[in-house]
Amino acid sequence: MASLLHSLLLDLKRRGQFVLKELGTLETTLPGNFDKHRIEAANRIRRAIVMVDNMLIDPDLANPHLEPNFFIDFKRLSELILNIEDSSLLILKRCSPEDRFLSGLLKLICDEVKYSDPPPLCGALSFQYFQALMEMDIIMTPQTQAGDLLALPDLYHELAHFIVFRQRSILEVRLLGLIHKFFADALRRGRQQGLPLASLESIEDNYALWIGSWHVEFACDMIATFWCGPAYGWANLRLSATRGDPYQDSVTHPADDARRAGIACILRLTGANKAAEEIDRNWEDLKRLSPSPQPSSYMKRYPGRLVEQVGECIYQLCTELGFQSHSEQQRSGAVVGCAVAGAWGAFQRDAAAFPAHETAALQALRAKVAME
Amino acid sequence: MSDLSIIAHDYALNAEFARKFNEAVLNLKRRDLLKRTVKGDAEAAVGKSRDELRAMLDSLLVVLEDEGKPWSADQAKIPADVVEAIRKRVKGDLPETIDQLRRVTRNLTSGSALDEQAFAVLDKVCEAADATASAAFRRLRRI
Repeated sequence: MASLLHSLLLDLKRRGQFVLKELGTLETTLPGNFDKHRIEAANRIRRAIVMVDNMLIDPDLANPHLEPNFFIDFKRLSELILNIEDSSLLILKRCSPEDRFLSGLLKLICDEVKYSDPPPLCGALSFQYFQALMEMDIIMTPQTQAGDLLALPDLYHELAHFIVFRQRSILEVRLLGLIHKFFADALRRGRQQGLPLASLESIEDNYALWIGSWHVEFACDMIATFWCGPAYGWANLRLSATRGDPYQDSVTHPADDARRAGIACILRLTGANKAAEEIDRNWEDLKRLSPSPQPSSYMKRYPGRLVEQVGECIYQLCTELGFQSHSEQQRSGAVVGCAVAGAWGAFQRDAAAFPAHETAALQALRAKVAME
Repeated sequence: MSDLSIIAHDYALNAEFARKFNEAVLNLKRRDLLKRTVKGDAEAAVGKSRDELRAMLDSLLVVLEDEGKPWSADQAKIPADVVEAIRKRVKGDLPETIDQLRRVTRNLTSGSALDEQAFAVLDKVCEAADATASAAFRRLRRI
């Protein structure tokens, strides 16, 4: 009788072949960038099937020393096939006009900001706002995103997730290094000053949050601001207005108020001081409309100097990686960059008249994407 | 922007580390435990696995031994979830686990074959890394 692992591998191979067949049925029906993604997804499935085949004929598959390691391999391959089925196959099978438009738009954005990898595919299929799926090279957006110019800066934030993940050997080493030093110094000073144990533990807790996921979110906001400029700050304000308490944070996301401070750092570093002040004024107005008490430990959780240091580090990296800042894009007449900045300018001038501006701007963008 | 982007980031990091570490252990087990003769490409793969495993262990040891030391670039190479999972798994045996991992690193450096005891501690790392990748995957799919 075959071992459990042998049977599971046969099942996995069958599932892989099924997804591969589904991908095959889409051949000749997809536009260029979607077909490229289809070919890559099919190749990944083929490589996974070869690995499954190799395990199935491996004479040591049932060896008790090796079987648990083969099982670990099985799990990673199973996850890959499920991920392709859930994201790539879903977008490719739908390939709606909205998906095609957003993917075309993202390709233009990649060119404008000097993103050097192939552009991810975009699908307006999310039920959880924007999502970057790094392993799949996919960004999911809200279903109405193709018609919402004011939220387009968030697409830059998702693109930045790919940078933070792929450039982590450079970016994380520097960023985590300075975060580590900042909190190690705070801890040392706290011990010298004889702070109570609870205060020292609080410093360690804050360090863990920064080192965990917060640095990723700060970095993505800051890269998006470098690329998108004041429009990103305004889009963040608009999004924050729908989320309530600006001081509330979670394990995955820092507080909106702290993120606003991070965005402001990059705006100042890129010379957009006036816009940064204007956004800050509106932020104060938002806090007036929805008063929330700032927690007493807030400034220790988000030290201003640390946010500034992170901002300086990201700004430096953006420059080293050869990215085009928002002002450089404006000077070179970047189509999407100018459309996004123009949309926010029009909205601020006259929010009531904005729908007409947006309709015309989207028409122009659709025409540009269609020409590409 | 949503939690899912962060979870996808964590999954990609954890899964990549789990895959690489497990592959290296599997290749070395074949040669050192099962005494399979390796030639040509397979020999090169074993050599590569040995180098990669040593590099991953060097970084892991720096992180596990971290006691407020200055920041090292090694720390960025090991996913934080994996470190936490290893610490939880070995609990009070951390100093002993560190000693065992250090011994494995010395053997890998000198080119000596690894024994069952060495693979036992390596398997603990494989299991912890696998568990973090699986946990992130479940969060990603909400299952």
